[in-house]
Amino acid sequence: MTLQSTKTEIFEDGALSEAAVRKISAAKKEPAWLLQQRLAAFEAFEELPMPQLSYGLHVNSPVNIALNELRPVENIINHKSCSEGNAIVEDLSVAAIKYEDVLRPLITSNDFRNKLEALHSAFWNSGIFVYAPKMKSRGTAEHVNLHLQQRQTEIVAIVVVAEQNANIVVTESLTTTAAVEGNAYRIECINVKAAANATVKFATLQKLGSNANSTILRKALAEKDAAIDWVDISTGEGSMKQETITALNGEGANSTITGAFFGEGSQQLDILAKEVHNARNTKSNIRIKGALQGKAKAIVQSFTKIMKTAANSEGRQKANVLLLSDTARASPIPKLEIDNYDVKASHEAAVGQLDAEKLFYLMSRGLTSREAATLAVEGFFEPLLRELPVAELADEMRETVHNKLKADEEGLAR
Amino acid sequence: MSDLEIKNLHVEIEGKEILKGVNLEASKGEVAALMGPNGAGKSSLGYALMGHPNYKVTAGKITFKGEDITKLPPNERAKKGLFLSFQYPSEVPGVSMANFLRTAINSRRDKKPTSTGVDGAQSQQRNSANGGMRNRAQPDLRLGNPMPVGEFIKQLREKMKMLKIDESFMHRYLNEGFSGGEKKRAEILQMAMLKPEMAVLDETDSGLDVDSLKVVAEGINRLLNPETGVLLITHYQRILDYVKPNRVYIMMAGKIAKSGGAELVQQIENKGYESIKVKAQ
Ligand SMILES: Nc1ncnc2c1ncn2[C@@H]1O[C@H](COP(=O)(O)OP(=O)(O)O)[C@@H](O)[C@H]1O
Ligand SMILES: [Mg+2]
Repeated sequence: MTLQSTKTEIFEDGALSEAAVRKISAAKKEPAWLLQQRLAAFEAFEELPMPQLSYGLHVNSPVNIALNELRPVENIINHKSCSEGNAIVEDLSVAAIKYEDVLRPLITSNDFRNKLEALHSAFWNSGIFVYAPKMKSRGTAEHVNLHLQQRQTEIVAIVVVAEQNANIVVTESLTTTAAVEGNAYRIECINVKAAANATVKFATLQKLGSNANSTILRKALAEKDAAIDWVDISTGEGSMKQETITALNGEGANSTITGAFFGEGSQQLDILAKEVHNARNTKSNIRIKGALQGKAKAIVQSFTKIMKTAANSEGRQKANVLLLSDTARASPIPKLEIDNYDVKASHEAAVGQLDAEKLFYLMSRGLTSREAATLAVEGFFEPLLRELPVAELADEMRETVHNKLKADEEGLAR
Repeated sequence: MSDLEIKNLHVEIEGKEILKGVNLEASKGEVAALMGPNGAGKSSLGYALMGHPNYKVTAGKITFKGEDITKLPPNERAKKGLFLSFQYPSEVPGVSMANFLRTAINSRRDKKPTSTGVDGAQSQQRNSANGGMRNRAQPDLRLGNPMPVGEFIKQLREKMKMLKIDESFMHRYLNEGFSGGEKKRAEILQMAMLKPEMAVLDETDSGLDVDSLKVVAEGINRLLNPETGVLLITHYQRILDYVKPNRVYIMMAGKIAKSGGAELVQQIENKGYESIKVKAQ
């Protein structure tokens, strides 16, 4: 199925005001409870501080945006989505009426960590709801593909609910259209709930252009025996802040976060992957690999938190960043917080460069220094890509890495 | 004149002189053996021959097929037909053996400036003389074009069989987790695929049990032909029972202390390297 594009009048006054909140909600014909949520978020927005970046390497995260440049003025739902089978894809504002009992508890929240989260909740102007209804038993996966094209500043809300036994794969690809004028900014929140024994894979392919910085916040909640696999392939050219946080709330739930990124130029990437174990017998695994060339910078935080209530759980994490130039910088920040002795946990984080001995070995077989370096970088990503939970995206990453290395004339031949 | 000539080669690493005026010759179609105790500088010579950036040539020169290659980067030497089987091959995670070998073969077929023009025109003529029978296959087999995948896999299977390497190794990451013996066989497999004119085999025999040694030695013998020569580096005579050398060089403390025919091997076996040292002084 294809969701129609809807578009409302451009608000003449794009200021971040209560009036703008009301206008967005009215244009979308939202129910009263949703308007109330937006207004509550707006109140919090005015009071909360901007998120701070006081750790590790100094990254000018795209969080430091000038808010007065934000224009949540247009109601854009510009996506093609297709799904076969039982899964439903709806405009979130429309779904707020039809699926009030499902959405209201998920969307209603006063627990904003910072100004940006509150801003999102008050002003989102594109919303998508993906719903996988309850099944008798876990069947084969249904696929939903979202092709989201960025035209200007957008504040996007995506809610995915997989009811009991549902099995769904959602892939979103983010691109910018040629028509983007000036600097576009994207704030996107993804909210996933996997009910008992449900399986959700959510994959983001971020290919935004250099004039589109983004903040992407991905949150999930896994109930009993549910599985949530996040995949994130970030090869866009803009700066990015990205957070992925899973709460393993039900016994036996498990989650993985797999991320691969490639940064270049003066891109700044700020990535957080976090797994919170709240229940017994839960499992998590974080794996992130990234390469940086030019003057790109990245902070990669991986955080495994195992609560007292999560006996017999297992949390693993591994982050590797490869620096391909002398001017690229990275700080991986691994963090384990464990309140229960009856658990297994491991972490590993490393920043490295291409190994000169390996390059000599490859060159001794006739590869030029560029070919050798390209092969070594591709090899760096390959083990992770071979095990990607959403295999379809592996080739995208392979191709992008190959092309970016090819395009970097001076960098690798150094 | 020999195909490979090393003249008065001085090499230092991190400011320390390791090779102190090495003279050595080797030719296609022949086996030259380079023997010597641990630390003599044999591997350093291999690296210097291949152009390792850390091994700095401070004097002397290396000529290959009459051309001075002392200053060429490693890949250019490889393209001219030089090959080094490493004593300790690198592990390259994420790069499958098949992928790597195909990249290497195609990289060598690439950029042969004469191949597309002159050679291409010639093969066109040959084709029409043949009645165009091989017209479809011919262009791909020319230098300057990538080797077709089917042809590549066929060759790789053949060579793996010869070296008794399980086919699953094709898809394994290059040398990663290979045992010592598997690495050495994989090196010879690469040699078999790349068809060098002069292969320097650094301690290809070490770490091999008797059966593996036989397989590898047989592989080397099969690869020897009038267009391929070998410089066999070893500190045991064991492999020389299987691969018969035409010349033998003994290296001690960064210099060739003695050279001669196959009979030198026996002398080393009987009396050890000490006997050479005395004579050299
Ligand atoms: N990368 C290096 N850095 C420092 N010293 C080295 C290096 N490679 C070799 N050497 C030194 O050079 C000498 C010769 O070593 P090598 O060529 O490996 O000998 P062989 O292969 O004959 O055993 C030894 O003294 C060794 O310690
Ligand atoms: Mg050695």
